[in-house]
Formats: sequence, structure tokens, C-alpha cells
Amino acid sequence: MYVELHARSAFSFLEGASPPEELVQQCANLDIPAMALVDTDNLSGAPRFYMAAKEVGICPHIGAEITAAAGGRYTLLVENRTGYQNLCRLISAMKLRSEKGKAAATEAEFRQYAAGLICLADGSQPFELLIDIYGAGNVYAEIQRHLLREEEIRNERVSELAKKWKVPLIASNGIRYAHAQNRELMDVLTCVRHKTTIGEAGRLLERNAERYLKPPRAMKRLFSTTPKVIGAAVELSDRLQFTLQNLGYEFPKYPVPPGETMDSFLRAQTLKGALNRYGPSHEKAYRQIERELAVIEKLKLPGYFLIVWDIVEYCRREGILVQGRGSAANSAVCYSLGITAIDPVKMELLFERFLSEQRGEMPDIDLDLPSGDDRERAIQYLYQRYGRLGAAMTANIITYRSRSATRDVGKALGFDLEFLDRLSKVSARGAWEMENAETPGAGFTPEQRFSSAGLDLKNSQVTKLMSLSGQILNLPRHLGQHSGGMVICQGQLDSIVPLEPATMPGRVVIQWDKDDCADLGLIKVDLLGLGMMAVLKDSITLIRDHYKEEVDLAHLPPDDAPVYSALQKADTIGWFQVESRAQMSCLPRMKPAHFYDIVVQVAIIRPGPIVGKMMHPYLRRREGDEAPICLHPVLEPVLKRTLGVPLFQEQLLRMAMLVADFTGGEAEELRRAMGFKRSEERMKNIETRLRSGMNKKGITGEVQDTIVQAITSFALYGFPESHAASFALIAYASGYLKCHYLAAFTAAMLNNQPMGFYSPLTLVKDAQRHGLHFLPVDVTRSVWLCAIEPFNGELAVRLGFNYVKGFNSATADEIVAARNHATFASIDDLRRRVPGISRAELTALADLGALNEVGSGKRHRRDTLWQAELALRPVAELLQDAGPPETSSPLRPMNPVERLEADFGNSGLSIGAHPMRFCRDELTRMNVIPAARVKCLPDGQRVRVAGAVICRQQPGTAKGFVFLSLEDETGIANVIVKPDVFTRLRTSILSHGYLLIDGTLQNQRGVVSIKAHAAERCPLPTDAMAASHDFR
Amino acid sequence: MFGCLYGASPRLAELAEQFSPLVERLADDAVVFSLNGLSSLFGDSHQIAAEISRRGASIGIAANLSIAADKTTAVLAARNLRGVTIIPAGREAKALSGISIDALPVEPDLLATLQRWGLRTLGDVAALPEIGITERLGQAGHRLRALALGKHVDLLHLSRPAAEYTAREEFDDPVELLEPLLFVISAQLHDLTAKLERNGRAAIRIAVIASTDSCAEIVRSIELPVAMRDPKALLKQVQLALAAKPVGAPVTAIQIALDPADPRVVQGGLFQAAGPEPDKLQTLLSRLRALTGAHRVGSPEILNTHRPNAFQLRPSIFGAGDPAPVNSRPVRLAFRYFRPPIPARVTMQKQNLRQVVSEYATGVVVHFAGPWRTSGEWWAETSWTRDEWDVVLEDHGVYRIYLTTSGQWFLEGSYD
Repeated sequence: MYVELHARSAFSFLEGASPPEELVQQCANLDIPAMALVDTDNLSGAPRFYMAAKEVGICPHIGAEITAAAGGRYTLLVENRTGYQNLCRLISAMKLRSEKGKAAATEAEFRQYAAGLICLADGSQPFELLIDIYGAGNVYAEIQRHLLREEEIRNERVSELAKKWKVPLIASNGIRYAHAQNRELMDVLTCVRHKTTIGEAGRLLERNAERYLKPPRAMKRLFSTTPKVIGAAVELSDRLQFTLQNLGYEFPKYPVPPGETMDSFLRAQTLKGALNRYGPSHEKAYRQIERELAVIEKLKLPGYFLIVWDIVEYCRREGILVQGRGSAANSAVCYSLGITAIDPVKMELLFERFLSEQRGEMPDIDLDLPSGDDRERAIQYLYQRYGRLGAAMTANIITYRSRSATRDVGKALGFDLEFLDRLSKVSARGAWEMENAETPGAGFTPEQRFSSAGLDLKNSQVTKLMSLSGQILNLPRHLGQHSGGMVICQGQLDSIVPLEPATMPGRVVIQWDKDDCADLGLIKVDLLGLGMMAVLKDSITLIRDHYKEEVDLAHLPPDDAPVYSALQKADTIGWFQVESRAQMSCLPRMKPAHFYDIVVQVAIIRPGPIVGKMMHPYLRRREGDEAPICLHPVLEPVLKRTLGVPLFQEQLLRMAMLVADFTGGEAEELRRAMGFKRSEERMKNIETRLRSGMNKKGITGEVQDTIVQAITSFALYGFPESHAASFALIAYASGYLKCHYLAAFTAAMLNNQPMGFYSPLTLVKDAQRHGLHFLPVDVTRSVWLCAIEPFNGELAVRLGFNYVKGFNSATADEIVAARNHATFASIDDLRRRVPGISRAELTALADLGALNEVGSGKRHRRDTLWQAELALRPVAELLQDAGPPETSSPLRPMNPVERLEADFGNSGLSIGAHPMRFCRDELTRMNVIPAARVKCLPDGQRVRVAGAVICRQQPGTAKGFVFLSLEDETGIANVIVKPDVFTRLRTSILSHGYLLIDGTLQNQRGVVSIKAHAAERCPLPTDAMAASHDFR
Repeated sequence: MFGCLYGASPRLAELAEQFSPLVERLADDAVVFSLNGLSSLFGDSHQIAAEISRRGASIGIAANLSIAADKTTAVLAARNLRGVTIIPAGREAKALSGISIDALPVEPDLLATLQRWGLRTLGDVAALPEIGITERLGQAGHRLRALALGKHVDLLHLSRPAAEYTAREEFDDPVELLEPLLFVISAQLHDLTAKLERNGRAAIRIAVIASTDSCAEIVRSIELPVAMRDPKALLKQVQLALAAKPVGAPVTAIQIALDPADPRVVQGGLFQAAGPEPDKLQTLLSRLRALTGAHRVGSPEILNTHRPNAFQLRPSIFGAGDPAPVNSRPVRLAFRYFRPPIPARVTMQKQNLRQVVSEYATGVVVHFAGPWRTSGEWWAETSWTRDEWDVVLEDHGVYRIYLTTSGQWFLEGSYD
């Protein structure tokens, strides 16, 4: 028997080439019963290593190679839980006080955190020192044989020292990759780490390919002269009793009033909330609440719910908008506690999707908060309440994606950067991602991707690049910070998982990502920043200040006619979730008339329904072209609401429960088996159970196949109904505000950019088409943010200094303070009283016309540019306060096109005429139809449209079709480009900002698009334009 | 008066020099030159322009020509107005008024300011009030306006052609022997090195170009390790180069070209060990190269690779550098390399070495250690894998043998 006690995985970040799962699998293949993972300075790979080992029955020992401040590394193995806690604390201590990438432990730290750890001595550190730190019985001498001459000299020395210090000698293979052939990848990673090329790396590279997992027989042969060392390793393995199963994690206890337990307090708060939500006599709801409370109590989770409730209460007190999303919306307890806003009882949502007794997993509650300061306040609240070592952000393991893979491997192999840029651009085209190869419909193989970049696939270098790029894909690259996931712990979190400093001072990040936390039973709360929540909050404030009305999002009119009318017309620019090109093209067919239709609308434009071929059947049934027949009569209650077509994850879970008698927990297990980390074996097992369950119920043959196909193909991509419902609420609220408080909503949208699908210019033009008036940036009126002002008896949006490129918010504050003190008499006066204003800022203001109102008399922009230039000249001290006399400028005023260019150049948008307006006469002569008129023309007619390209998309599910949105002064026209046409017109479509498209009109049931035949640059007097939403 | 020629021809300067010794090369595509004194030869500006155009046409030059009272106006006009432009004194502003401001030789920031002001042409710039533009843009503004008005005063920056160190000798009868050829080359080198010395320069490269009977040109290029100008040393280099690689045909003309460089300046130190003079050392090395072949002379350099025994010889570079670091690792055992390695036959039994047979050593293997395995360059056609062993044969000799990727055995050397 042989055990491997020194293996690095790819989580050693560029110092190991195989993921932990691959190492574990290879152990299983070779009958190696135990392995120790010792990544360098981190335990990031430990959870995946543990989970994989648990699955195949390998004993997963934990350890790490720790960089010593005095030089070299200590290889440490965890013997027991104390050892694990010490290892976590050791890593945390050295990481938290060091710059990123420079962490190293001092001798004092090694001594402080020595208990429970075993040290492997390879001769690089003095034996006497290690024995002194870890104790005589806890140091093992380690020898490795990689068929290297120099290594034998070291082995001899280590053996002598072991004898001298009476330390047991063990054998290991210093694993860096699972298979010998991974050595090539290891060499590439070494080049990436040292920022060099393979041709220049020289002796930095591996000397041979011997650091792979070798069969026990081969290891015995290698150490045939000292056979005891193999047995000694096995003995040491037996000593290592700790696994991550004994993590010792405890969720913090929520402080309850005297006489209460957490169970009783949660029950009381829930019932108090339920009274408010459901009234006193909603029997079904109370039954559900009781059932949920029983599960929660049984799983000892009341503390978790109370802590989340506490955060939500804090937000309420502080006036921070907050709404739970995700599977938590399936819970009536969450709804009663005010964590979520969706009534799961009314919507018949499945509680097991959220929490299941059988699954033994921790629940996951995601809270949406306004992005920006409000979210930060909520995070700070958690830190304050649970302490620096009681709360931390979860990590985000950044892995190699196809672009970074090709780029790093290409650089290492010595390809030139220009070539790699070209290749990256090909990768950037929508779904051309190798890692999505299993995404049905993506359909682009690496070969196709490389060919389309003009590469010769017969070239051996290109083949190497392609093969190694494929191998490096999904390997961890570095540790990032998750956007909002927080882990909370009772007491010392640094004894559960190593902590690292976050970019923001005072913050810490754990070394595990959110899936790892879920796998190991660490409870986390996701505090997610949602741009739209910030828009809603800002809108409410603006409405209160300018419309003098109070809007309560929880009590919006439920069936507001203007909202549904706008939805049915796809007039949804700026709305949450339903504004994308794809959503807008579906809305006229969907014709939402009730809230549940919005829930469906949110969920239907997703890869799941599209790939699972559910979208079109649903729409046909909705339009009455197809009978709403269920797959099987037994499924009628589940699928009735969605016209017999499964659209939501919960439906699939319920389907499994109905047709195959799965329990709620088993059904959720099915969903997870289909999840992103698919395991063929797990899927097969579940499919077998599914089929046998259906056989028992007499569902066989084609119907059985269809149901299995629906469940398996859909579970991965389907959208949870609860999640869709939470999003639909926000979508409805955003639509309601836009329909009734356009000025407030638009100002809030502009102040929270970047967000959503469209550029600020498109938002402005859309609002203008809806009758909103905009006022330009004006140094006598504007503040930092866009604001609302009365204008001609209506409310208009005044652009803020935040829409002046390169403008500093501190300068804006200075301007406002100075003008509050006294009106600016002249531009020179402004320059003197706002000393912080830079040349670029003052010039940009003048160019934008923001100085036109300064002083007496209306000026034109070039007048102010002429005066600003003089004001910017240095003046002798004595004359500083005198100020030069303002003379009239000799410059001619800007013409409309020049003003447009100045607007785009300085603020990225224009509130003046749309650029297309300037060539409308010429376009009319060229038979170009304005976008707003296209929908009035009959299906099949040849048309010519033109406009600014605001969106180019090539979705992975669209089989190579490209979609363009062209905006002119009347609206937006949608263009579809077939793959062969796109190949022909690629250069025109990708390189011009304004396009002229010839095509055939498709006008069916309110869905209007133009199928392109030809595309060329649109003749326009200017090239000024905003950025397009391309291939995102 | 100034003339300016603007076009894509490389012979613009040559044409300008036909009319004036005072020529400034502005760029590859423009020259400006003084026309003072030409009126007495050719007549008025129109006649001068006609003559320049005629001569230009005769040597195939197609370029814009402008004549103006000041240099900058002439340059702006030639660069931006097609054909021949003659600008009478006092009419500069009008002549330049239609030219785009993009043509102005100003910094991008200043140009951006002018564009923001809506100025399109030099006429627009000229129309700005002098005080106004100077107040705002300072001296740069004043200069701009002067440029636009054709009142900017600028002097010619005369161009001097780079010195050439080339000598050519044509023979009445082809020369077949090296000695008479060297006699001629010696004279050429004396002249050229004298010129180098006058200009404070030395030679870093010698090119010997021999024209032969068959009209072919044979070139011998000699790179020198340090810049030198001793004619004798240079002649020796040429002699050795031609001896090592003779021309091989009767020579009808010989040309010597020296590449100039700054001469080497070395301050001798009182306690510094005196090294050989570079000139002499170079001569010695050239002799060695002639004897052994160029690839066998140089400083050995260990390559940055795990490939065993990988080194290259790089051309010697002499200079006052730091001495190479001495490898402080104690020598345990001396190893004697066989170059090239000796092919061998090795008998193995169950992964144990039994017998080695080779030209140098043959015998039963008494002890062995290994294999030691190296492999590398998997990304190239030069990839290798090698297993090596140390063996003790029955004659008590200790040898290193290795097995290549192709399955061939070699005896690499022996331990002393």
C-alpha cells in the first residue's frame, strides 16, 4: 500500500497543474487510499478535494506548504482539529499583515500555531529548529525520487539527518500534476508565473515529467532500497485523523430576550409578520408556516433566519430598500418575516427548493440592496455586529476562461501579442467560448474558433496552443472577492477557514468560494448590489421632493393599465429585466396582462426555455394556436399555470415528485445533479431512479422519454419561479415608476449608470420620445447628479456634472458652494472662486455650453470657450483680483452638428436632436424608412432602415444569428442577420457606428424585425455616437 | 527668397543642391533652400520656378514647388498647395488662407483648442485679433498668427551629408593573386583611416567588395570587436578574411567600405593587469578562425536549459567587464567527456544493466546507478528525452552511458 502525502493542486495558483478532483480520481484509479493536499499558503482547494475524496472513498488529509519569512517553505499536515485551526490561523495571520503575494510566516508564528500539526522536513530547514517548534514526534523526514542526480545527494543528507535526530523517514512524490502528460501544462504555468516564455524559461521549467501520481508498485520500485519509507508514510497517514467533516463551524447565536429561545422568538416574529401578511384566518398559509418552522427548528436554523431578519430590519430602520430573492422566496416564513416580498402560498411555490430536511444543506438567502453606499452600510453593519473575525466576504475563485486561457498559454508559447489579440477578439464574439461547448446551441468547437482566426490547424505550435488552452481552462488563476456573499460565524472564523485581506481596508475575505461554503455547511448571506434597487430608492426620493407624493413599493396598484400597455407594446427601455432586445422582441407576442405574465416573461428569455424548446410552444399556446395539453394528465396541476409547458425549476421538481414519487429533497438533489458541476454518474443514477419511478406509475414509452428529456435538459438552465417572481416585482415597480414618474425615474437611471442594457443616450432619447424635457449642464444650476427642475409647467431633468467627462465631484461641490455664496459674475470670477477647477474641466464645461448663462447676457459656447481660455492664463499676483475685461469673442457660434459633436465628446450623450435627424432629408431621398414607421408596413415588404447601432448580439442559443438594434430619432428598429449574411457583411456590421440596412420586413403579430440582405455605412455629417452594447 | 520642394522623390535634395548650396532637409519628402542670387542667373521668381521645374522633370522628380519670401510660408505652401506656387511678398496671408489648420506645425493640445474654437483654415487663425490670441495662447498664439499671416521668421538649418568611408579601385587587368590586391587595399585603408582620424572616428566593420571577371560582386564582411583605425591592423584582418575565404576569381575592381563608430577610449589602471591589445588579440582570433573554422572559436557559454552538456560558443567580446563568477561548489569527481560521445551496445536484464560494449570501454557491469532522467523542449522539434546511468565495469572504470529517445546508447565519458 502507498499513500501520497505531498500533493499540490492547481489551487497552488500556477504551482500545480491539476484540479483536486483529478488528483483524487487518479488516486482512486491507482488504489491509493489516502492523499494529503498541501497547496502553497492556502486551503482554497481543500473543500473541493474533500468533497471529491468523500465521493470516491479516498481519505483526504489536509495540509499546506507555508512560505517562511526566513526563506524556504514548511510542509505542514493537519493531525487533528486543533492542528486545522492552527493552520487556518497561521495562514490568516501571515496573510492579514502582508501585501498581496508577499505573505510569509515568521518563526514566532510557526511556534504560536504549531500544536496539532505534523511537519515534513526535506532538509531545506534545520532539523533541530523544526523539532524545537513541532516536537520530536511531530517531525518526519521526507525523501522524494524524481530520477534526478542532485536529488539523491539531498536524499542522502536527509536520511543521515533523520538518523541523527531519530526522526522517521517517509517517502512522497511531491505531486504537481495527476498525469505525466500534464508536465507540459505545468511548464506553461511556470512561464505564466515568471512572466516569461517557454523558450526563455530555461532551467525554471521541470527537469522531467516525474511529479505525477505513480502507481504504488512504481513507488515501491523507486524506493526498493529503503522499503520502510513507504510503510512509514502509511503509518503517518493513519495518524492524521482530521478531515473537513470535523470543521467545528457554528452559526452565531442570535441574542433573544430573556425567557425566549431562538425557536420561540423566531416563531413569535414569524407569526407576528404572518398576521400582517395573511391576516388571522389564512389556514393554508399558517399550515405552511408551521411546516416550515418545524423543519427550521429540526435543522437548528432559527438563528440563521433571525440574523437575516435582523439585517432586513436594520435596512428598514435605515431606509435602505431590501428584498430577498432566489429560493428564499419559496418560504412563507421568509415572506412573513419581511425578508421576501413574494407570497409563496398564493403562488404555490415549492418550499423544498429552498430548504430540505433530507438534503442536509444550509439554506441560501440572497438579499438585493441598492448598489453603492446603501449596500456598503449593510455590510458594515454585519462587520460591526459580528466583529472582524466573525464575518467575512466569500472568495470568488477566478478561473481560466477561453480568452484568458488562450492569451496566457499563447504568451507562454511565445506567440506575438498582436496575434493573441486577434484570437481574443474571436473569443469575444458572444458564445464562442470553449467552456460553453456543452451549452446546447453554442456549437463552436475550439477548432472552429482557431480556424476563424485564420490559424493553420496543421501547424504544430497552433495545435499545442489549442490543446494546452483546452487543458488550462477552468483551472484556478487567482483568488477574487465575491460580489456580496458573506459568511458569519460564532466566534473565530479564522479557525474555520483562512482569511485574507480584501481590497477595501478593514475587510477580510475567506479562502473558499460560495459553493465550497455551501458544501461544507457554512451559512452565508448574499448581500447583492442591484442597480435597479438604487434607481427605485432614488426615484422615491425624487418623487417625494418634486412630485410631493409618497410612493410605497409594497403597495403599488397591482394591475396598472399603463404598465401593461407599455409591456404589450414592448415600450420597456430602462425597465428591470424586460428591457433587453430579446425580451422586447418577445413582449408583443406574450402580451402580459397580469403580474404572473411578468413572472413568466422574466423566466422565458433564458437559455433553459429556449434550448429546451419550451418558449415557442408556450407562446403558440398563449396565442391560441396550440392546445394547452400537458405531457401527462398527472402533471396537470403543476403545468396548468404555464399552459402545459414546463418553464420553471420548481415545476420540474414537482414533476419528478408526481411522476416518480421523488421526495422534495430528492427532487432538489436531481436539480443539483444537473447543476454546473455535472457528474455523468450522478446524472445516470438519478435518471435510472426517475425512470423506475415512472415505470411503477405506468408512465412509459415516448411520454416517459419526453418527461425525462424535459427534466434533464432543463434543470440546469431553468429559472426558479420564486426568483422570477422576485424579479418580476422589481420589473413591475420599475415600469410603474417609468410610466407615472418619468422625470424621477429617468434622473435616477442616469444617476446610477452604468447599469441595465442601454447607454444613457438611449435612455435620454427614449424619455424624450415619451415627452420628457431635458435641460443641459449649467454651471449656474446643475449639481453633481442629474436633478429635476420645473420647466414650462412640467418637470424636466437637468443634467448634472456627473455627465461631464473627466469631471471631479469635488469640483462640482466647490462650484455649488461658491455660487450659493454669490452668483458668478463672469467666467474669470468662477475660475478665481473655484480654484480647484482644472483646465480640462473648465474647457469641457464651456464646450458643453454649461457656461453660457454665466454673467450677464446670453452667450454662445465659443464665446465662453474664448473667455475660459483667457481665464485659465496665469495672472500676476497684484492683478489677480482685478480680472480682465470680458470682450466679445471673434469666434463664430457652433452649428447644430458641431454642438452635437461637442456634446458627445464631453458627455457621451446629447439632449439635442438625434444625429440621424441631420441627414433625414437625404435618407428620405434614399427611401430609408424611419424606425417608428416600420411597424406600419406589411410583412414581406422590402425595406431600407438606418440608424445608430445601439446593440449587436450573437446569443449562444441563436445558432450564429446576429441581432442588431438601430436607433433613429423616431425609435428603434430590430435587424436580424443570418449567419451566412453576417459572414458576408461582417466588416460593415462590426466597423460602422451608423448603418444603412436593406432587408425584408417581418411583421407578425406585432413582432417587427428586418431580415438583412445588405449593410453599409450610413452617410452622416458626423461620426459622434455613444457606445453600443456589443456581444455582452 | 526661399524655395521649397515637397514630394515623394528621394532626389529632392539633389535637385535643390543644383540651385543653392544652402539646403535644409526637412524630412524625406521635403527640402527648403535659399534662392538668393538666382535672379541674376535665371530672372524673376517665375523664371526660377520654371528652371527648377524643368530640371526636376529631366531627372524624373514630380513634386510641389513653392517660392516665398520667408521659409515657413514656402514650406506651408509646398506641403499644402499642388503644383508650382509663387507667393509675392505681402500676399502671404491671402495665399495661405485656404490651408487647413491641421497643416500647422503645433502640439496636438493647441490644435485641439483651435478646433474647439471652430477654426478651420489658416485664414481663420489670421483673422483673430493679435492681442486676443496672444493673451490666450501666449507666445505660441503669437507664432501661430504669424505663421498664418506668412510673417513668421525662421532661418535655414543647413544639412551636412554624412561622411562616407568608401574607396574603389578599378584595374586595367584582372588581378589574380592576393598580394597585389592587398597592396592596393593597403593604400585604400591608409586613405580611409586618415579620413576617420580627421573626423575623430574609427571603423567597426569592414566590407570588401570585389568585382570579378564574370561581373559578379563578391563581398567579405569583417565585424571588428572594437572600433579601430590602425591601417596595419585593418589590413591584417582583410588579409586573413580573404585567405580564409578567397575570392576565387580574377578581380577587376576592389572596393573597401568602413562603417564608422566612435573610437574606443580606455583608461589604463596602475594596478590593472595588462591584457593583450584588442587589435592584436583580434588578429590572433582571426588567424585561429581561419585555421579551425569560425564556429570553433569564441567564449563557451552554458545554455539556460536542462539539456545535458548544452553550450554554445559566442564571439569573444573584449571589455573591462567583471570577471565571471567562480563556481564555489567543491568538485567531487572529475568527469572526462568523450567528444563526440561513443556509440555503445548495452545489454539489459529486467531493468538491470549487464554489459557495455563500445570502442573505448567494454565489460560486464559490476555496479550501476540510475536512471537519471531529463527531458525537455516538448514544444519544439528539438525535444529530447534521455536516461543516463553511471556504471562500474569489471575493469573498475567508472563511465557514464545514456539512452536517447531513438533508443541509441552512447558512452558519454568517464570519471577520473
